Amino acid sequence: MATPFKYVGRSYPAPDDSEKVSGKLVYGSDLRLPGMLYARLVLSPHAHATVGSIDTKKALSVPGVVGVYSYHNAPSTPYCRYRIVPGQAGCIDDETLFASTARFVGDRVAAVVAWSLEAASEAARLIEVIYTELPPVLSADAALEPRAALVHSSGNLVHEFDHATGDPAALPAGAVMTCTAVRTQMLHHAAIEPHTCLANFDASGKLTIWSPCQSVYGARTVVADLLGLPYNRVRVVKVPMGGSFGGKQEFILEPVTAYLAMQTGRPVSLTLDREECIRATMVRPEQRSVVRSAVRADGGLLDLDIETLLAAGAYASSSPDYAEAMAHKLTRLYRVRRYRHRGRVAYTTAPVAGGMRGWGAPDIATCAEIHMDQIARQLGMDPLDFRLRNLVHPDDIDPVTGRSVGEARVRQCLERGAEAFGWRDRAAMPPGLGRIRKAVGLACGAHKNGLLSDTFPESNTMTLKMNEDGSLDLNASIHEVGAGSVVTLRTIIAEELDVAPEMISAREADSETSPYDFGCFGSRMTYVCGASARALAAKLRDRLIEAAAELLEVSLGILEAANGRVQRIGVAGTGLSYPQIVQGSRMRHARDMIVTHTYKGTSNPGSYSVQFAEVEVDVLTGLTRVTQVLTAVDIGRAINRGMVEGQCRGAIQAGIGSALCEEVVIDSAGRAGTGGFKNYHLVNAADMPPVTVLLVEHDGDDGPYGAKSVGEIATVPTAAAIVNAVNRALGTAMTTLPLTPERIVATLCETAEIGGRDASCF
Amino acid sequence: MNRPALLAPRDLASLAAALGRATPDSRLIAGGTDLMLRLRTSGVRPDLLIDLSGLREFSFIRKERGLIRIGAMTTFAQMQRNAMLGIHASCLARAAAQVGSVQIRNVATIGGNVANASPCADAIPALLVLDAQVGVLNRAGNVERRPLQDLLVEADKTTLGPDEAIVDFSFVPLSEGQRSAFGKVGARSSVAVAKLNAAMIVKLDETQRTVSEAKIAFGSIAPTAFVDDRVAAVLRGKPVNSGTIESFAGACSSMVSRSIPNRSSLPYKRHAVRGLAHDLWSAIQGAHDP
Amino acid sequence: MLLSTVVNGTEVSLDIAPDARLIDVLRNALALTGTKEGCAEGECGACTVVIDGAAVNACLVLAAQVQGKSVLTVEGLSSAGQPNALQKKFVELGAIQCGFCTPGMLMSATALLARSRQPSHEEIRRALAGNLCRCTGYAAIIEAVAAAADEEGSQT
Repeated sequence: MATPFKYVGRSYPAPDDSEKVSGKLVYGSDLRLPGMLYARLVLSPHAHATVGSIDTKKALSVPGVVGVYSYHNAPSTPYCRYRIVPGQAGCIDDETLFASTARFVGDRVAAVVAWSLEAASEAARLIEVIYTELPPVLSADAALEPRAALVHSSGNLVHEFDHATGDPAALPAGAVMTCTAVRTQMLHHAAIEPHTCLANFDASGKLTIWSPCQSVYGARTVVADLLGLPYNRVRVVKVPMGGSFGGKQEFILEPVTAYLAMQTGRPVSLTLDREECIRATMVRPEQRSVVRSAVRADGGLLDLDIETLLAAGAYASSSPDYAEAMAHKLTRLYRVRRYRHRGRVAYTTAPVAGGMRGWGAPDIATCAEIHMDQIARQLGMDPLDFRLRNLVHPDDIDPVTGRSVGEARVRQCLERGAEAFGWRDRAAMPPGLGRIRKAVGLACGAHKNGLLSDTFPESNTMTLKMNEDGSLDLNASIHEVGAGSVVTLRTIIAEELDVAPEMISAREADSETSPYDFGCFGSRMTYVCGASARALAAKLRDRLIEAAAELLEVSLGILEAANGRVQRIGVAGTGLSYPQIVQGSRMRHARDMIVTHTYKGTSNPGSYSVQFAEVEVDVLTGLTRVTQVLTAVDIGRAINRGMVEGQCRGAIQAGIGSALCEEVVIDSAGRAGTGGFKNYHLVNAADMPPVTVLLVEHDGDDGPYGAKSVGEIATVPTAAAIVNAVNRALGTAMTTLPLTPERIVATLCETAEIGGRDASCF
Repeated sequence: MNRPALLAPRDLASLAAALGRATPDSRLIAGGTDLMLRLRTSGVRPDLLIDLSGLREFSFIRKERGLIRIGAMTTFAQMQRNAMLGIHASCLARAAAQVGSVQIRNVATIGGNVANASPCADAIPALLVLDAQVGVLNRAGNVERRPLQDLLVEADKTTLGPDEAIVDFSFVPLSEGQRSAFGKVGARSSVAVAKLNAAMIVKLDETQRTVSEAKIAFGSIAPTAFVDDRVAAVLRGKPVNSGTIESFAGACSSMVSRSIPNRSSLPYKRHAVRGLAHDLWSAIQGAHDP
Repeated sequence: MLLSTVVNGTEVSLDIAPDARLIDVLRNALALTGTKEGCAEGECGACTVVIDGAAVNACLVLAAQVQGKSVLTVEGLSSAGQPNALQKKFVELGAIQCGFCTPGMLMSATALLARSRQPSHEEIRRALAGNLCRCTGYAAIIEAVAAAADEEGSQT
């Protein structure tokens, strides 16, 4: 594979892969501590109810039960599960450890702690709670009706905004107006590892939390503030994680587990089952959006006007920011004259919404890309040409943020992808009138690289030290979510120092010992943390050169670092090896080859992906088969090529699911996710189509070696590409996701009734 | 916590003895794929578990006295791989192949599938269309044969008493000229619970151009699977052409409308069943003669 | 009750509850935490183990039913700490990201390769249809299984 670098751009396994295949890697729920207790939660069976008396007698008499906790004996200090930094703007403290008013089916009402999981489960079943039911509010629309029951006394409208770039201006003659209403559904992150947390409050008064989280410092902020502990008496350790996709990014189990550990003075382990994970952790919010546009007769986008209504669920969490984030996506993707985005966020007595991979970018891209196809249809334009007419160019200024989109290569993604996919020919083929209708669709997406803004610290500190044998230890707050962060950082450092990546050892984040990083959010891992690692390694390299110059008593200017040595420029084998420098410099000059660097992020370019999908739809059963997907990603530079491609494929699996079959369904009683994976279907190996990955690489931007993010952008346009393909196959305009067989059949029957044609005939 | 007692009989006699100790709170466990889940989610605590997995003599597929007999503890994996079933009862072999995943098929048993009596059970339409008899053992040690339909009166529960156990199924193998098929529509192409399933037996006349015999059973519609003669009659005596298949599909659709007029899944199922009908017909056309 | 079984080639005798699940006996009594619990309902396949050559979901198996049988878990794949061909291919070919589905995938693949020396990609997909992965999109896993089959095939 072509890469101009020695290490960057190749494919690497992760250092813990050998433990993953041997079954030896210890994930959160594999942890066992001496004297450990097990917790089980009692969750509200009602969507909305006041919690009255709780009879714990029977529960407490189950052998092995240590304690039962509820709002009757636990603190009721409100907190926000989304707060990462103290004083963070946009955080609403509306959640408590245990509910005195249950606000959704799945709200925490009590917790049992026992010596065995079985005893805890048995006791949990024996707890008798008196509920007084209140009217449920199951949709955002219902929540905003004048007489809706209040989910919180502050009112059901949690947040609203109305942002616009520029002033409204007159439309030219011949402008075409289009309007599309889209519903994107509630989704389960579906990491195969359920949510889990272990906490211990030891005799010295220190709280330790082992959690597969995305920010150890964030967990510390929430838990320490809630329990009134100094930050240096709360240690949060990031343990190996069996996937998150954002579902473990908010602090859901850490507060209650920590509380139980403090109360019992023993380690407490809490792991949820699948149904609890679906309903009682966090979901991607259900949203209703309306996209309106004005387009010139020749296809040039003028005005884009978006309205979104987001169902936050029972607690606000990250929903206000999530809604705002959605307003920052489309102007990175398309050149528009004016962009207006009105967002509203409403409480509902439903599962709590939170960030999911893409953080609103997939949601808004789904709406926008279905809309763009509709415009193209109206204008009689090929959807490809319509995109080409309007996509951003490199260095365009995003009018919403005022920042440059940087090396935005979305047009290249579209052109190269279309050619590789054979778009023109395939798009021209009619779907046919048979039982199986075949068509292709495309969609574009934009995301970002980092969180550069006022609310969050876009900086990162790391330490790198070289040992006497030339091996290295990286001390950084790394939050590996399965996307290969450790390898990425190792590879970058390897490239900078010209040592084999295996020489670099890195552990994951530990708030007690690893320097500050905000966390694995906002696609900042490679772009910010990777750039930080590069600068850090460069700093160490400079230090090695300085030390070598001192040892050799020569001037700096004649030396270079190459092949694990500091040598005379261009003359291999001269000078000193890194081990010689480390040892010599320490012995003779009392210098240590250890550096610390704080990197500050200063840019946030766009990340882009364009995806093409081919589908076959059975007009009788309504089943859609995705037969091929091609994804073109503006990656800047692939650091670990194999992982970049792997991330693209996994992202598409999730995107297909969100287009066709995944939905957290809430029944009329407000129960979500009943039956776990029996009813929540993921795309399995048999149904996964072949995926072609095309990486568009070039230099520029501030990422390490030009690298940009991939994990989130890779899933942004997938659902829309598939929906567009299905609509082209059937001649329909479906905009309610997922396009289940039931929805497709209902649409076909409806269309046939209107057209007077028997839907069964083909 | 009260733990259930556990009995693990090794032969018919000890199974009968175990059944003698069963109460309405006792449970038989075959492969466990249904029961283990039910125990977890329902919180039901049986007083006694009778583990059938040691009954090796109940795991067989053989031809005897002109009948195919399948032991109740035969797994779907075994049925899927059995050459004789594939030829002489292909609808049942095909149904077995579409139950769950490899992991489920390796332990789930035909006896358990029937005893669990899910309306969506895949084996049941195939067994019904084969007119299967069920061998039921009682505590006295006697095995009585009953038609399968007699056991199925409501969803999720057979008419079996707590002291009865299924030991085998038997049916006449497909004869020369008879072709069978099994079809299923789920939420995805594999590892899915059926939204619709059906098994069909068809025989064409000597010219191979007219349907002489037809029989069809449907599942996942009513609380129990059932044989539907009205739909089968639409095929009998008809020429093998696209007009007949359209009538057949239409008859299936009408059957759904008749059966579940008030169910929310009606609009979908009455349409999708046409796809099932076409799939069954294609499978019949491609089926081998025994 | 006393359970006597063979786990990863070693005879094991344990006092277990009659209604204990196999997954709990493996993970707790035997401290073999390589077998993962993803859903407790036999849908995700993360708990796949091999019993007498057949891949099964340990979360749905009554432990008492492995009396006298032979159970193979992911910990039993390597010998003397050395990964086998299948494990090596998973590492080499990028079949692992978060790793949580990996033990189950390896066990399903192990059962497949014992039965079918040169499975086609289609056969591999079907054999793995009961093992869910949220990270890799499956392609690298299927390649790894095929590559392991090739390697083992070329060695016999």
